Amino acid sequence: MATSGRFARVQQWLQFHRQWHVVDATHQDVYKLGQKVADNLSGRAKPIYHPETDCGDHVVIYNCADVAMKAFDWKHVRYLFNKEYPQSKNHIPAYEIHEYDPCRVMFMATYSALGNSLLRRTHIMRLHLFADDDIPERIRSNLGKQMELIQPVPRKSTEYTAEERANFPRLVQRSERHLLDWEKPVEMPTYVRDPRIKKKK
Amino acid sequence: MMSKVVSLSRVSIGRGIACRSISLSAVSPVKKITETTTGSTTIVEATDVPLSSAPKAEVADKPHSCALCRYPVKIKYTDVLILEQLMREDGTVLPKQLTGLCTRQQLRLERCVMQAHWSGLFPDRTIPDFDRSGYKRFNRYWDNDIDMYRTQLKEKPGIWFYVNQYNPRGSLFKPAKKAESAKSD
Repeated sequence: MATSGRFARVQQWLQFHRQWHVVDATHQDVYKLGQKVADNLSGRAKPIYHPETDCGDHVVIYNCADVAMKAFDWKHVRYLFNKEYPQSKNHIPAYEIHEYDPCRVMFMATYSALGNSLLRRTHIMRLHLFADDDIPERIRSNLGKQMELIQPVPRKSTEYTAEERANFPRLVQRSERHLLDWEKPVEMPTYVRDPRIKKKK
Repeated sequence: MMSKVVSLSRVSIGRGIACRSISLSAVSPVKKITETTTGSTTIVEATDVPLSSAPKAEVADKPHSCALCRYPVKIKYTDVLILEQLMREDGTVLPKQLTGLCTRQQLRLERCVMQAHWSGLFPDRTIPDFDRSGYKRFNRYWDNDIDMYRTQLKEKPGIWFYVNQYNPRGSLFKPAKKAESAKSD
């Protein structure tokens, strides 16, 4: 590391250079990804971090519409919007917000993860969200680093090749007297409502 | 009038080796009912079915009778190839009598299959009118099979501040990309 000489100032610029990260949000948990993105936006991921240094990076998240939540959190997580006027409390489930605006939930997750500070507004302006993979040219030309994924994307049954299927071991050993006809699909009996029973209104 | 002659299953343990279907390769343990008509007689018998040449999973010294209890790993909804071995073609799970699993593993299997269906991991084994309305359209993941029973409501503060610089709702009004690519292909 050069502390003097002609190259010293170039090294200083390189050390505090603002990096552009890109990440695909498909099948990634919103809040875990939001936490990681917030760490990159504020600069906490860097060893030279200090809140007054302004060492945060830009982060571009695409495919925000395909972001994932755990179990039934899409309907269990509710956002409280309160204007402190009478009759202005609104509990909106996350899926309703996502239906209206695919990027809003990701934005809110990152904004909350940045913490309540005066620098939050500066950092959140460096977050670029895209609902699909259509990123404009002026942003694509800036991209430098790809962020690591939080979670592995689950593979569908159609995405496995025949070779992989053939090499996968059979865990279930059938008995000798087992008939394959027992594994045929069974027709489910349809439920027929008794017309004599009338629902009371 | 066609008379049906039902021959006894070719493989009955009491009869001895002569009656078994002669195949020097490993005797496949699975049978299938087949009907063969010759003239006025129909023979219904259970014939051997050659199983896939998939390698048999290694079993420990003291094997459990339950196929999943043998391994110390919990089954997950992403283990699609394992779930497929215990499912039918239409996406339903085989009953406990056929899978041979213990109650705990059978229920865990059913939960994992449900989770896999909800995640859309079985696109060729679902019914055409599978419920994907509202929140079910969006991606979800599970860490555990019991996660589907956690029903607590979680309240988060709504954030009024927003930066919509790149037209975030624009993708909702774009024409479907899949239809376009299918037409061009």
